[in-house]
Amino acid sequence: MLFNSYEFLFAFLPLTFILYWFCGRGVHWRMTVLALASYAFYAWWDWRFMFLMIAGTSVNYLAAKRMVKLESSDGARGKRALLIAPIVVNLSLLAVFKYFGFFSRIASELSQFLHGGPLPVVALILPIGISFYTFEAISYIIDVYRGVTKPARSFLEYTCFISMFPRLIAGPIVRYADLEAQFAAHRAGEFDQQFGPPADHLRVGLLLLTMGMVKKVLIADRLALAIGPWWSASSLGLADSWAAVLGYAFQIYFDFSGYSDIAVGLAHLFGFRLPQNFNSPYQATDPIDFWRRWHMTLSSWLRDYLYIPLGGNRRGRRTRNLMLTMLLGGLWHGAAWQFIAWGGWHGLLLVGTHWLTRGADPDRPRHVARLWISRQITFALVVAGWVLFRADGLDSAGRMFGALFGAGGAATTSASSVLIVCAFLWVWVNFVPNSFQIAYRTPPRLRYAVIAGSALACCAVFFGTKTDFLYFQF
Amino acid sequence: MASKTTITADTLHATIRARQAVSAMRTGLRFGAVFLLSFAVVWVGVMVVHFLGNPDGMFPSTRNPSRRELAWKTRQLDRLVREGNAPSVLILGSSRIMQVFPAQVEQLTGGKAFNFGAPGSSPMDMLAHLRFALARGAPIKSVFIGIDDQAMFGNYENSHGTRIAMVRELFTQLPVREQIRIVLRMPAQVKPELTWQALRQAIDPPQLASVPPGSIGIMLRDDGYLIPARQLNARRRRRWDPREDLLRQIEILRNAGDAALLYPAGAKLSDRQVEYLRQLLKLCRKHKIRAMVVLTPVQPDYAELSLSPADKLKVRELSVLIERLCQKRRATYRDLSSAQSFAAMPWEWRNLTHMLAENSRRMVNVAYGKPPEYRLDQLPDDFTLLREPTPVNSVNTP
Repeated sequence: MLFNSYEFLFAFLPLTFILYWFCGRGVHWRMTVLALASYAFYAWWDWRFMFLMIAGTSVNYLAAKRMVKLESSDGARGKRALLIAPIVVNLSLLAVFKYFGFFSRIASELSQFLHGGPLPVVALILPIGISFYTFEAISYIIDVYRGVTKPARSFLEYTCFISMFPRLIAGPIVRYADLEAQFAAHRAGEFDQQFGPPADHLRVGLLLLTMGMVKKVLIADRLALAIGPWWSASSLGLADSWAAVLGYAFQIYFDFSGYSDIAVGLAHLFGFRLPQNFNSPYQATDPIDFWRRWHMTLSSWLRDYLYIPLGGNRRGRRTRNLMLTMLLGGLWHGAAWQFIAWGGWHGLLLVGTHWLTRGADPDRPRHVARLWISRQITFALVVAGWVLFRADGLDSAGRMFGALFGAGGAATTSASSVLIVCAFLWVWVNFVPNSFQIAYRTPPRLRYAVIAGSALACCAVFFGTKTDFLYFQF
Repeated sequence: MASKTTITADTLHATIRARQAVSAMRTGLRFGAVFLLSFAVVWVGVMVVHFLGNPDGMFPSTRNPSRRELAWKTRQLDRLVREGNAPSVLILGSSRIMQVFPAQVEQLTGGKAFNFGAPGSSPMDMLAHLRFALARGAPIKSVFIGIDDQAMFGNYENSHGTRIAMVRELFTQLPVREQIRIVLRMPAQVKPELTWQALRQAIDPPQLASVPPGSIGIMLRDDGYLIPARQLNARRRRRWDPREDLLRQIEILRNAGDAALLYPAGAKLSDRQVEYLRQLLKLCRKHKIRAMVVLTPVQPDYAELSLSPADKLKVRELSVLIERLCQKRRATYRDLSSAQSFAAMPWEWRNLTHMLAENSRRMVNVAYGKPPEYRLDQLPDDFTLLREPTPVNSVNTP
């Protein structure tokens, strides 16, 4: 079920919340409720894939447990095998469900080219959230192997980590290390004296939930309705193309960051603090800064589990490792050439930024005007990447680029209203504090509760015209 | 001997911490409670405004009753019964049968007919309609039931599944579980962009405005018959040619690939609707009502484009099922899902799924066992009916 749906906001969430805090006591009760609710949440989408997730969870948990036992008995080889096996299992799941169709399409096209006849293309249904929970499972087993974190105390705790419904479908990508101390706090009884969640958790949770809903329902969804037809048009006017591209840049930001805000807010309601996923990315002053602010949990995952193991920037291999990491990062987003191209584009941007700023002191203060110019250049480069990301294919991206420079058809009248909205949103992303800054700094005054409650109610009114979160497709 | 508690610095700090913790907890609870209260007040307020104002007629508001076809027909049927002019033949079905001409059915059955068809009507809706008519005391002797295959495959659930709620008298004829199901879905019917209009209409309900004849879109006659006035007038002025319009739409669909398919992938026959059809026929049998059941068609070229071979098989299986149900309940069944079966004219369609009067009358003739052109020349055409509207119609009567 979607977060922006009546069944979630009026039934699932209140029921789970009440069961979790008020119908039993102790960490065991709470973890059981959370795990069962999370599986029910996942099964709502497609119950068949719930068993896939349970199987993957079991493999990872058992492997980590065994790994720690081997540590004490000096079984380095066995430990390595226990590292590799679950990673292979997780990557195989991803490869089969997400990429098999893509590679079979490539094989078919190659066969058509070489032999004049295509091969059958086979594609499987993509289990929702698989890209996210497999990455979390991989990070867990690697961190246990490296000794960064201890294995989960119990299967129940590990299940809660992997299946926690607030972030199960589209992140943030959470590492077990982020939650280890929090699980320990739950086990230590820190929440047992509470009547409901702690005050801070409740306040921040409700504020983030509301802000996320506003971003998703009132901004991203409205933009999606306005610009959708332009992206499927065969020809576009200049104004329409700019409205479509800028509109999408804001749509994807508000959609995805809105989802992340809701996810973090929901986790707070259950006594967990998840990592921030967006930190005003359109205020980035260069592409490197952008990736420190956009989908932060993915970029840090790619850095720690792909880029650095590849060698990072050592032995003069930065360019190769950056390009490889970003190409794979693009491929993670979707099994299609345009996502690889998007990843490659950002790889080039990162490589280019490193080359341009080599030798420069990163802490050197910069003039305000230069900062602003850097921001807008970075924004423009990122927006160019979104054309690749959003288009149905490389040829469609090419058409859009052409239209951006006047090679399209006649304009429509609604482009100007979308451009005006984009102008307001540009002001918002550049000057308004982001959700985390607002939520964590807002004092517990009742007027903010009134504003937030009213805002969430306005969002709920729009639930009848809901659309999926963009990142669900990944 | 009384015990004494010695206050030490540690005790004092612990007490302060405990008080702070309780205070923080109360602050948190107050914040949460005020949040929930604000949410409830605003959300319920918006729902109430939309309910009372009823801007698009989907709610059963007494302050601003719906003016949609179903609501108007229900009120009209009620009027006829109260005036002692109740029909004895009911025409039930979706929008595909809204141009079944009651006067023609009267000619064929001998009983006064009323067209109680409404957009998206499924067997569940038709059951409620018949129950309502019987509850009102209408002496129903015969029903004409037009089955829409899309309704049987659940295609109308999302778009039309809650429409019956616009009329409370019909809604209460549904089984309780359906009422609950519809009530739970009603909040999703709210269109936020109509909130301001809802508020204005809740405060000041609009009166029935007089509509210039040239501006009438559709008109319902006092017998429930639908006249597509705008299209007829456009046709008369040669601004609309059904053949050209249909060919254009077919061409668009030809290029649309899978998007043209009538049924979504994996569409299955709705067991719920089959059960309601069974109950409808059972009700007819119980009240000794003769039932004429017809499986209705779509435009032939559209049928070719929009029904995959698997879908055509599903429709054939549906037909066999309906035939079996009708045999058990002694209802008459005609599979008229192919327009050729009643010699339909290929271009006398308002759009790809709705016949114009000419084809509708041919279908009804064949349903009642007559040749397609039986006495067609004795029935007034829609142009005549439009020029001579009944004293009571949907344009001049709420």
